[in-house]
Amino acid sequence: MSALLSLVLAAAPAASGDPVIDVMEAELKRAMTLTMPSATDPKVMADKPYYARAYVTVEDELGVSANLGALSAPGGGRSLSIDTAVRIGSETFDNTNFSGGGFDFSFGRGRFPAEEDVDAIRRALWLSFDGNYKAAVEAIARKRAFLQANQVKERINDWSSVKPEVLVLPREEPPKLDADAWAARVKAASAACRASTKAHACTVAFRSRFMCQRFVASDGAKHRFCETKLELKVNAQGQAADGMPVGAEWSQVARTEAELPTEAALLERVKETWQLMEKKLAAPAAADDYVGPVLFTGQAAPVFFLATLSGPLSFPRENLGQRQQGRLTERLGKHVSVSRLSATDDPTQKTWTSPKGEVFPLFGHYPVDDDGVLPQPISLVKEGVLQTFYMSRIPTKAFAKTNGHARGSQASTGTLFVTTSQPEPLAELKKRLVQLAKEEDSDFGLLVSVLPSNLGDRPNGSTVNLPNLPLLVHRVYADGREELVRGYAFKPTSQRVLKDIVGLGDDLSLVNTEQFGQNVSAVAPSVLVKLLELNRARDDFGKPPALPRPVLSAK
Amino acid sequence: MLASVLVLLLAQKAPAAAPPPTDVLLEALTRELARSKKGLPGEKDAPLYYLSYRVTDGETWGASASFGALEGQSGRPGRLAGRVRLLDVMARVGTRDLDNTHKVRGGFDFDFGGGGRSLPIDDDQGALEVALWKATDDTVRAATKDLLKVRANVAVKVAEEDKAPDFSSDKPQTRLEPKAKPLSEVLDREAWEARLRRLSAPFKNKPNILRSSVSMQVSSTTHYFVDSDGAKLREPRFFARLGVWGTVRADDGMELDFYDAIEATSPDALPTEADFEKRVTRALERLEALRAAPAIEPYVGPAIITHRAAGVFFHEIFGHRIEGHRQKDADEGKTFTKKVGQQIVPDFISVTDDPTKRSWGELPLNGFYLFDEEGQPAQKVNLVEKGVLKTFLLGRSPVKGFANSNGHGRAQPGLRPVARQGNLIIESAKQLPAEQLRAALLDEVKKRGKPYGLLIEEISGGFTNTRAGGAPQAFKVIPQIVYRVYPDGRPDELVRGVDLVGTPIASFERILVTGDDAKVFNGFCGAESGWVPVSAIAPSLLISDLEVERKGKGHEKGPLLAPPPLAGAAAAPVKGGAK
Repeated sequence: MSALLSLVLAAAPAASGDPVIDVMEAELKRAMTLTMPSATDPKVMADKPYYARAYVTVEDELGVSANLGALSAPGGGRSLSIDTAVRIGSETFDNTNFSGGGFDFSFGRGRFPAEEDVDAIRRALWLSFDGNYKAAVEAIARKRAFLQANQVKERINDWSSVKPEVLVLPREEPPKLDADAWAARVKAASAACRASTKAHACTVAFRSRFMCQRFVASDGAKHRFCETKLELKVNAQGQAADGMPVGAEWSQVARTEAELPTEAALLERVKETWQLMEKKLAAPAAADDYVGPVLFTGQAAPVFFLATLSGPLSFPRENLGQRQQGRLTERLGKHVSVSRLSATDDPTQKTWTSPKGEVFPLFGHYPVDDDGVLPQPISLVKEGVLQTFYMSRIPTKAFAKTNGHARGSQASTGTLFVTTSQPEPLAELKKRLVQLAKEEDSDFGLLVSVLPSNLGDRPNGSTVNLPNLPLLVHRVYADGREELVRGYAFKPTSQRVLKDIVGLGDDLSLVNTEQFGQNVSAVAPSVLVKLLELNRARDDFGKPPALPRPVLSAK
Repeated sequence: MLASVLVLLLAQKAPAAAPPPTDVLLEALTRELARSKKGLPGEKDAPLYYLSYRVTDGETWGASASFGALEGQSGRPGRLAGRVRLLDVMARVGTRDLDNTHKVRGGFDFDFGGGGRSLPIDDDQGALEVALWKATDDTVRAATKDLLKVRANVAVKVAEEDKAPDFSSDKPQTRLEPKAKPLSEVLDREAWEARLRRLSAPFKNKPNILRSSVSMQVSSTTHYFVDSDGAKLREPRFFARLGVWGTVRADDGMELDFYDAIEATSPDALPTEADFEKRVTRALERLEALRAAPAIEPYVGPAIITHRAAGVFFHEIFGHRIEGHRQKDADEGKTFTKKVGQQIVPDFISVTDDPTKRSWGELPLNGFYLFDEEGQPAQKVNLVEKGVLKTFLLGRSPVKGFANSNGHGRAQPGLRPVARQGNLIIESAKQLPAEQLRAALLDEVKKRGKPYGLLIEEISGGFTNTRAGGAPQAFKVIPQIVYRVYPDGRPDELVRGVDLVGTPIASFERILVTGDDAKVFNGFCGAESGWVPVSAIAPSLLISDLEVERKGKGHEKGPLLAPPPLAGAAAAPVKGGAK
């Protein structure tokens, strides 16, 4: 009789209208009943999960690129990733936030279905929950043993409750892209590089990434949202006479094809890129180390703040037994920068309108965070004083609750907005740059307008690493002359760099990039820093090719 | 003058035939090779004396389905999906006697070649030449640096035992075969994806099978080779492998795999779905049977290694040890280096390696090729005649007493070729039909007072350590299906968790007699020059003393919860199971 009843129930119409969410919920429900003999005493059963969650994320990618007018092998395809997490114990003490949990080689993860087949997805979820539960039972035993053997001054809760959000947005389809047409487009655009006699390589690449994330959690939270990111990138590479590899790059991200440049505009960008690369080839290499002021403008300004401000305010919870000294997050309520600077993070903004009135997408936007919590705008720094830092549902000593910034495993950046109470025109900042340089016995100050957008690793103590090799640097002299120079590299600095800011511009620039594997955005004014150290160019590069480059006919 | 007028007239009169298809890639390779060889003389004391380009151009495709759904990545968009065009440049500086490829002794040496580079997939001569130019320059530069290291190493170390040169003088070959056909012309990817889904679906109803997949890997590539001695080669190759794999866990935690695959070297040799379904069914049955089988205890005694398994056995314990370059590498064990002219296996056994053989009966052989990756023609090599070792497998790295290649310099794209096996063929002059071989096994069991003999039926693969120092120079072969054969008439009993172990020379001495049932094992072999397709053909072997050990068992418990119900089962409970 009971078997019959369950059959009838199972055949009942799906609750969510999304068969994938239905199987996720069904398997989550089963996962909450997981139990096994405990790791320390086989006669006692280990705790059942008090919280569990699952993600199923569909990704659809296309990548086409061409070099000097000829196509490279394309990439992409559809894949699925399945991820689960299990917490046992209680919010005050569970199996997480501990690094001594050992490695987990349990099976079932790594091989996922490539299509939305509910049986295959459910099977993968079953094995993933199973492996994570067993790992949790071991981890909590190790964590208890650690606490018995070590003195831990104050214990912070491992997890926090929130009101569960249900946000099931429409299931979108991947953008309908014509792969052949894009291949033809990048091919034609990169053929424009053939006018350069010095380019060793000159690529135009188009990449489309579509993803649809589904999330269910045992506290009732549930979401589904989809996102498309299109990217066009131009990259020209050459080698200077002294052997230094020299490159120039341009890129743009968009949500729709219509937002990307027209073919004519793209050709223009290609031309500018290889011409800039050729200019850099002819530019002098940095012959001496530099100690002095640096002015960051354009794209370099928001990248500077991602590296120096939002990076150090991310990943606030340290694992048990892994304390770092002197982190920026410990300076709540104190001045961390000059008073004229304020910073907020607002992932709810979908677009940003520049002072000129142009509208740009913000990829730091997310409708719901990776804990299933709605994002909140937060004030990070107000008039130089640290107000808060990024929080997920993992509590910290200072904050018990999330502010909707869970991204991946911990809290980090969404969209950073830096503002100033004393904006100054760029010309004024340049003048001050030269004056400050003089005080450091230098004839010139450095103007950095492009930084690589690959931001470093998780925060490490009080050290701050700027993206090492700035891509576009000029020496600014007292007479206003600006001289392109190549080869400088930033030395590591400290979080004090925010206090060394001596000027902020009346301009604003945007960058859409990735930090800690997440899409982030930042908007910031130009920034003048009193003192930074850069190394001179290396002098051990390989020689340029012995034979001249083969001649390329125009296409 | 007259002749040229005549030609012109003829050309005008002839019907408008299509111009011969030009091979832009080959043009670019030839032109840039000539320009580089001429323009890059190398340093004064390190002349560039040899330059070659090897290109693998074509398409690869693979898909895998598990429990009825595609897994990994699927549906790569666009008609160019899976296109590859990989370049390997070989630059030799110095002299044939001592060049940059000479093995540096002592320390760690992980230099297996330039790593390969992607070339543009368009037939755009200019763009191809730019890519070749950069790759050539980098490679020649690296070669010049390497030669300095080599010279320093030779100067500080004791004299080498084998003073053979680093590079052989072999005749450059020219042969242009038609290009490989695009995969889209010979393979319907979507149909194959659907087939894989269907073939993997029966696993859904087997709750004891933890993991499984049915997968298809296929490549259709054209192999180009040009060198500064004048070689110019073009050869099409096609490979496909359809495999089924599953893992079960026995109650004691031991995980057991079963893998079965079928290979094809032409599109029409691919099995039909119905044929392969039979293999899937057999795999399912074997997995269930293995799970229930008793675990083996360590054992030494008489055994039959059946044909295909015997092929793998020979491939591991013999084939890898007669690869030429190992004979002069100071770090190698050199099992057979000084045994040329001596008996190394029973005198009723002869061994050849014959990559010129396309098929064995109706079965295509994986180890077939026209030219090796050093541009030398494949050759049949008589390795062992009536038990006596005659020669080694050789690429263009000569060995003392063997100055020339015998067409076995092989590599996957991106790695430097070394001597490798092709089609290893074991022949026997002392054969018994199956029944008599089994009777001979039982006689041996009784004679030795053993409780049972072993019948090793299928082997998934193996590995061997040929190097001296550190780990023992032993081999391990991993059988999948092993039976205990009892002398008292009890039925054969399947056992699980068997690993075959041993040392090579001792194992050969124990071959008593063979079957008359030679069969082919097609597979891919991995070594320092990467994965290359190979075959091994052997009759069953009766061995007087075979050592087996029990495979390590996992510590993982099986899943705590029962497998989730299938959506199909809920929607249509009467039919149940697969979609």
